[in-house]
Amino acid sequence: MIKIEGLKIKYSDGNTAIDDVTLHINEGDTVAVIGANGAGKSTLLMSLVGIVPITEGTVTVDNLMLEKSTLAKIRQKIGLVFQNPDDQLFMTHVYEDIAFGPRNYGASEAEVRERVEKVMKQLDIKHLARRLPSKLSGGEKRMVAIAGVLAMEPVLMLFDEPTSFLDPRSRRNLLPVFTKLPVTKVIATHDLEMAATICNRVVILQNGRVVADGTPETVLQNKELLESAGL
Amino acid sequence: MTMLSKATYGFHNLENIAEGETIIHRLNPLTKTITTFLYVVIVVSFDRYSISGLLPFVFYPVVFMSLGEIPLKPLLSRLAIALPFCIFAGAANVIFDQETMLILLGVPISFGLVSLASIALKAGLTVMAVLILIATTKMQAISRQLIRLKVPTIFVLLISMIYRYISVALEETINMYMAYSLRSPHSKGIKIKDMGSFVGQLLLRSFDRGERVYFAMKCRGFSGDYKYVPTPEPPALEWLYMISFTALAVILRLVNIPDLIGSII
Amino acid sequence: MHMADALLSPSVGLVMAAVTIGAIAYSVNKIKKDESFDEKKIPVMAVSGAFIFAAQMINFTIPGTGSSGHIGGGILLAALLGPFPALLTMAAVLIIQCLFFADGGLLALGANIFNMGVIVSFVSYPLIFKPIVSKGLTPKRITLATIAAVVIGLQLGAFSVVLETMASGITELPFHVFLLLMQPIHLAIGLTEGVVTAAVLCFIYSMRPEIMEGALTNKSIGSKSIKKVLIALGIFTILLAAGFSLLASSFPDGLEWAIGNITGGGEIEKAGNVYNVFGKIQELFAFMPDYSLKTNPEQGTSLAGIIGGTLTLVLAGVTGIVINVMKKRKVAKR
Repeated sequence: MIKIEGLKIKYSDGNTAIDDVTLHINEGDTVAVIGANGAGKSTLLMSLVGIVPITEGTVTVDNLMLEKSTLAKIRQKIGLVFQNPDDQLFMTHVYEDIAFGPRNYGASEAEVRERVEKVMKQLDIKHLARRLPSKLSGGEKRMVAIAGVLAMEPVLMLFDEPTSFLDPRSRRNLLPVFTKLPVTKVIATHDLEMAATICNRVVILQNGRVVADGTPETVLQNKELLESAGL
Repeated sequence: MTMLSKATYGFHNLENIAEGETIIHRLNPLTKTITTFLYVVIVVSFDRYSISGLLPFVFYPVVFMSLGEIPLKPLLSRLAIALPFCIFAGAANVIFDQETMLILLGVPISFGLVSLASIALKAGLTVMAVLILIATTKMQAISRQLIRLKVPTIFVLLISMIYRYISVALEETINMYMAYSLRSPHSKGIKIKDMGSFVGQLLLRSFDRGERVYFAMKCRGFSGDYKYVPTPEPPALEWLYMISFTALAVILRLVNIPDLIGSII
Repeated sequence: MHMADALLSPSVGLVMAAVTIGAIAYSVNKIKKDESFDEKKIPVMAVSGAFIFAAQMINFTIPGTGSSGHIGGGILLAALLGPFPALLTMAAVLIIQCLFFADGGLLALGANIFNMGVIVSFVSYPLIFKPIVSKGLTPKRITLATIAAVVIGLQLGAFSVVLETMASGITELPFHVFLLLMQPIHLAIGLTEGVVTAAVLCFIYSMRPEIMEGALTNKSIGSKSIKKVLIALGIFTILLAAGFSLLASSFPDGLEWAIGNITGGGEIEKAGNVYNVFGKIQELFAFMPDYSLKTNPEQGTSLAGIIGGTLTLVLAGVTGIVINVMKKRKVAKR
């Protein structure tokens, strides 16, 4: 489904964030991307939706290549849930925020309403519809952020550290939500336990390169590998 | 520091009140905007020495605050902000306008005093009118109403996003303030020499956050323009209400009813 | 510097609102046409706008005086975002302050946005800040430009407040006394605000120079067209003021005269009509509408007014109590 070939991302200050990454993600995968701070996890995710410009290499989503002209289409297929939900909840209340995506893509008001209600039901947040973002707890904000992306009906969802900012209970509530999401998922995370529980594949990034790619059992049991990757 | 916390509290409080479901809350935003604006203009059009003519206008805030179940506390804090300068300007009138206007129970009352009272009355009425509007209309309805009034989308989006991020900004500022005070126990407020980096840091953080929000918006299809759904038309009944409100207000402006009642008695 | 509604007359309020709406429309237009305007700016404007709102409440201590100061933020926004985005942001912040924090009246919004936003973006930024800083962004130049722009901007703003209040005719404060009170205070405020704003801008320039550089390259009004804009604004304002005063004075007074005639009001009303004509002429040319309104209330009518007024107030109070009681009963029934 997603083919990342020879991806290289260099910042304007000379820093290389991603150094030759080749990765194929298959439909139905739930991939954990783990690595120390600065390893390149967020950059990788952001490059897949075209926020961070690519220096070299290609990204292809369902045979559609990522380039300037295809950005809008790609962003409808791939949804990114940001690390800090406050960066993502920018409308004055929950319903409006979830409706933002579908409205921008030209859905009629009736369609928008249908999608928003469907997604709210899916994530069990109907009671939050008229709430203001400032009145939501960390866990609730996270759910609304996910809802906002889900409402665009993507085929792939990217999550940047979804369990950060969450207390233990919210985190526990979030995990089954992930498993129920009917999309392919790539999750950048520090949460090794989550990676072990819900993911079928673990990729380790170190200094912008892939140093491991396998099942949770093989990758996460390998203590030496984890240590050398700074985890 | 207290200003910041007061602002946070007041803001949240107002958001709560606006979520109510009274008959006033349910009125169309256009109705409320037009009647509020009209009310303010007419109250303010009274001349300097009007008091009795203004008094019938007290009915509006009293009735609407009761019907809208708007608590008194926010009103008082708003008056506390708006009144001081008005009183100051009015006090100037007391000093400069000393001619006696009338004698009440044996006490001469100067024109200046009357104009001070008039200003205070006008201030109270106008502040209450705006409070009623804001306390019964949700931000989302305000944005959609502005769109209906043909305000450019970019501006409406700006207003609603500023509204959204005010609580975040207040919180971050308070946090940094607290961190600062913990390390500078003797100063009330920030020292001037530290203001550069204090405000500068917070501003830079705002810029960074703004950028991230922009990316989040782009990821969900934002392309510079946003399709707001405009508010529905006010129903015929509300148009009738607006017309009668206007007629009543104009009549009250032109005919001093208390004077009439008083002279009958 | 936020003006309240009670000190404004409808004509002044509406004229200033019209002028400000024009300025905002112009800015929106300029922004749309500017290719270098990144849509990225909109959320940046919003989040920094929200912060400026919070920043206005930060107390800083002025050494030696023991008193505290606050920053306004107009020049700060203009220097970081460019003058047109800054006007929009400032306007939005003022609207929110007026509605949600009672800082400034509803009718007074036009005047407030003008005094604190339009003057900054259309005058002090392009005519003072930008020229000094275009020769080079150094801490010295930034400081000089900022202090000058803030001080002059505040002086102009304060002067506007004086003009607007005097033209409204609600206060008896003589023009020169008002000026003598407003200008020196705002000079002091301007100096402290200027110093602090300069410190902030220098800090930001040292950390992220590209922000201020970007804002500078944005097209703002050139000095030649500025004169045109100011002249146009001035003429526009005078015309509108004249028009509105005519309307405002003729309509209600005219009707009163008519009603007075119908009810047989007699001589006072006729004299009033002559007064009206002079009044109109005076309003066109003077800042201070005259004091002859004093002749209207007489002893007899004001007593009636007090009785009637008290009755009205009592009636209003009773209405309020009744509504509240009925509401509580409804709740209790549930």
